[in-house]
Amino acid sequence: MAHIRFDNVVKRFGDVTVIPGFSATVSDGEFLTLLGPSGCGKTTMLRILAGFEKVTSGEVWLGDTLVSSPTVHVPPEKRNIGMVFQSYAVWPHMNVFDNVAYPLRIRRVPREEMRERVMRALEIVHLQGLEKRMPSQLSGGQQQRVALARAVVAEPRMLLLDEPLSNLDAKLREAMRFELKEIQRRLGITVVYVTHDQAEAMAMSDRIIVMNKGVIEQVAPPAEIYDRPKSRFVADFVGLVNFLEATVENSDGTIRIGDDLVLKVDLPAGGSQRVLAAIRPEHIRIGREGSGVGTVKGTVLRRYYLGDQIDYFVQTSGGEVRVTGNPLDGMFAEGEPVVLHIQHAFAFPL
Amino acid sequence: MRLRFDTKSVAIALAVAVLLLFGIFPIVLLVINAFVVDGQFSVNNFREVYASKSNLMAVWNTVKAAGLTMIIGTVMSFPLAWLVGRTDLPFKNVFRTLIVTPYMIPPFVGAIAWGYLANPRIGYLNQWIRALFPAIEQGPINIYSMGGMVWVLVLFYFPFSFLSISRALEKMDPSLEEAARISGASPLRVLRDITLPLTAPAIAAGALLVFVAVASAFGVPSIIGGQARLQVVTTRIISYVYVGTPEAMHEATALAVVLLALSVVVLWFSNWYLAKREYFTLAGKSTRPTLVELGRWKWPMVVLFTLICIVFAVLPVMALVMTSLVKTMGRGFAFNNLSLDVWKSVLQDAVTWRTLRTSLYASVLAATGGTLVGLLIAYLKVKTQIRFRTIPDFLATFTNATPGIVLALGLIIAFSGKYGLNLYGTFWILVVAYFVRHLSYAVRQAAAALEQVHPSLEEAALSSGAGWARVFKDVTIPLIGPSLVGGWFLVFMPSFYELTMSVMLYSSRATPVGYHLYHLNSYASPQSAAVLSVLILILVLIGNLLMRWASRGKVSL
Repeated sequence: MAHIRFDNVVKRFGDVTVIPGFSATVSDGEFLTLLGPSGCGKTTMLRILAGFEKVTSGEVWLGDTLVSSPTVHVPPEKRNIGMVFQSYAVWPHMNVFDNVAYPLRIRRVPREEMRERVMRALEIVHLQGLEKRMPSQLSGGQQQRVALARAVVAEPRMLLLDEPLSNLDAKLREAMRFELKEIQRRLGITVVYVTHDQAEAMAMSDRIIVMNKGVIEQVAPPAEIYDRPKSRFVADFVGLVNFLEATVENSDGTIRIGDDLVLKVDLPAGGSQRVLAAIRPEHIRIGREGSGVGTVKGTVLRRYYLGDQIDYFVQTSGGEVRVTGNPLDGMFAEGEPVVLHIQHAFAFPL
Repeated sequence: MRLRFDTKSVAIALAVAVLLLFGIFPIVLLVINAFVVDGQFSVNNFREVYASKSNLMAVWNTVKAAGLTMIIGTVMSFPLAWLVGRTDLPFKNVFRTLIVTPYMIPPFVGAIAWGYLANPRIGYLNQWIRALFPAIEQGPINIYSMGGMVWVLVLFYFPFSFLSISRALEKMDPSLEEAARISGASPLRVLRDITLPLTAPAIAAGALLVFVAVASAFGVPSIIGGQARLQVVTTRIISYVYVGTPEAMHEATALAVVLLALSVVVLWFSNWYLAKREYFTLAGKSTRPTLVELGRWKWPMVVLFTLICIVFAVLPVMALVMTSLVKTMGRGFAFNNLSLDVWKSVLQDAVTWRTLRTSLYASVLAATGGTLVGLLIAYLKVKTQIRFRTIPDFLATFTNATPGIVLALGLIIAFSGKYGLNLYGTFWILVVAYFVRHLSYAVRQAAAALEQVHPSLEEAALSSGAGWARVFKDVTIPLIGPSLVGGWFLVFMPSFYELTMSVMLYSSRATPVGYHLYHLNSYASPQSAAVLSVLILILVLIGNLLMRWASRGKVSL
């Protein structure tokens, strides 16, 4: 059953159309991510779902309830949603316990039960024993956990997360990805997550909605987004990609890049003779030998050693190509002739 | 960086010396004078002063007026600030501007205006009420009472509180409130549980500011309270100074020290409390707060705000304009009672122009000196590593927090020739007074601007081979120019229409326009006072527009 449904939602601020039309569904227990660059409208969509913004037209349904339409607007406090804000929004004048207990106080939960549920929520986020601390005595990561505990304590129908990790340092951010996902699994709660960080989106989501300028570019599970991006924007935004101009040789998907690189791809609709081939650096193997379809000769222009991988920039007849090399496959020197083996490629209209 | 004898150090040292000589020395001297009688330490001064029943009454009246104004002003400010800052009230930007208009009107001009409006006999409001309800024969509003005085004080001093709360609301991270909404709290519950507690420090700070400002105010208590025979500490001090005998000066000093102590304690407490409680809750990206919908309250609120703006901003200005245009006061604003005679006589009076010139020259000198010294003090604080570098800035804040009347008294004691410098009775004591009292505005502007100038910008110039003075002239000044101009106006404007210190420091050779207006209103010609008030309001408005333009919108009143 669709748990959340956006039906052609349009949002305008004055004369500016932020969302020209957004339709999507989120199923029960799903972890859905809205991914896109800043200003793409993802936060606006989340705020519409939370009830902080009204829709200009279209409808938002939570289960069987219409919560947003031009004539209906259920205010945020009546939606039974938990939310974690980018700035955490932990109230500085309340201690950890009172922060987490607040949603229960509003719901007039009896004292004993409240205590129990707050403690359970704090345990889930690993903050046991800190309930008497004031927020100013907590680290950023701990404040984040307080915000998370507060968002789930009242067992809301869904959890909204607005770039919750962007203010944490890199190590903690990475660790929190897995932890958030674990908590979501444990609670079985529906999560809508907003981020501009593709690694976060890939690591946690069941499905990702990639947005650009208010429009949905692609809705798919992470692997599909990565391996079969539907548009040039998605290919470029998620992961790294080499774009090379190519000529269509045959309608079965054979294309030619430069003089000597022939590839098989899924051709875009339209039947044009020229297409843009996209190849991810990690979908290319670098070696000294080989020929035939999917291989191309080149010369290493520059080499950057990163420890876990080596970045090569290789000159081919079709243009400069970036390749991710595995140190275990040996090193190639700058100026050395090499052969690139393209394992996977996609094509977009030029 | 060590303090060395180069251009920079000499310039900064001179600036600090000027502040110490003209600002701190007089205040210290005043305090010493209060405790030393005939070369002996003694509290006799205080015993004498506070044995007098009328002095005690004045203290009580001060506390009462300041306390009531603080309470009413704060209770009024919060809902207004919240409605303007957090709801979908229509035209709220217009309302925000109009509501703080009294901030731009010198309070004593406001007091004069309210005299015209609510004088029990000939006040316009009373005339209108009597015309509407013939059964009422006199009054019914009497501005010349404690209630009337508090009313005018509230109108002209509540902006301190309103602005303090508004700023706190603007600075607050909106997601703090949103987090409560999403937790299930209604807008009113959010107001009670989150907004109010989080803005409490700003509310308290604003309230204390109002209290201190009212306790040190002279114009309103003198103009309104004087008619009602209400004495407050400031008016009492002036009476003693006008008597002028050594005994009277001692009594004035003892009263002034108490006023000074009150201001210092309150401001110290407010800073300490704020430092402890202020939550730097500015973060996150949704800086646009979710607006609470007023629903069916929307239009009633618009009506309410319109009324408030009329009472706060339109009525007083209207009263001044009307009064300046009638032939005879008391016969109302009727067509056959209109004339430009008063305008002509004021504009043809040499005294008008002489006093305007005096104020203009004194304010320009004070503002220019203030900008220069303020810049150096700010530079010392922001851009050097010298120990105690923040102390001059603190001292400037202190002289600003010192009630004007106290500062003026200190200047009289210090610069009457007893200590080698005789400025009392000259034009220069006005310049010094305006400069010292308003210096901290210039420091604050310059410091804020300097903090924005990254050290590398100056280092780049230094490494290009320019000397410090050259770097300052070529790099620093151009970058902070607009803020400096803004700071100049912030010193100039209040100096131009200054009353409190002028009342004590004016002389027949140098009478500032503020005192001239006060004199016209109290003793000579209330109608000429109305003309001069309108003139001053026009000049203040022009000054404010110029300031906005010259500082590129960075600074406005």
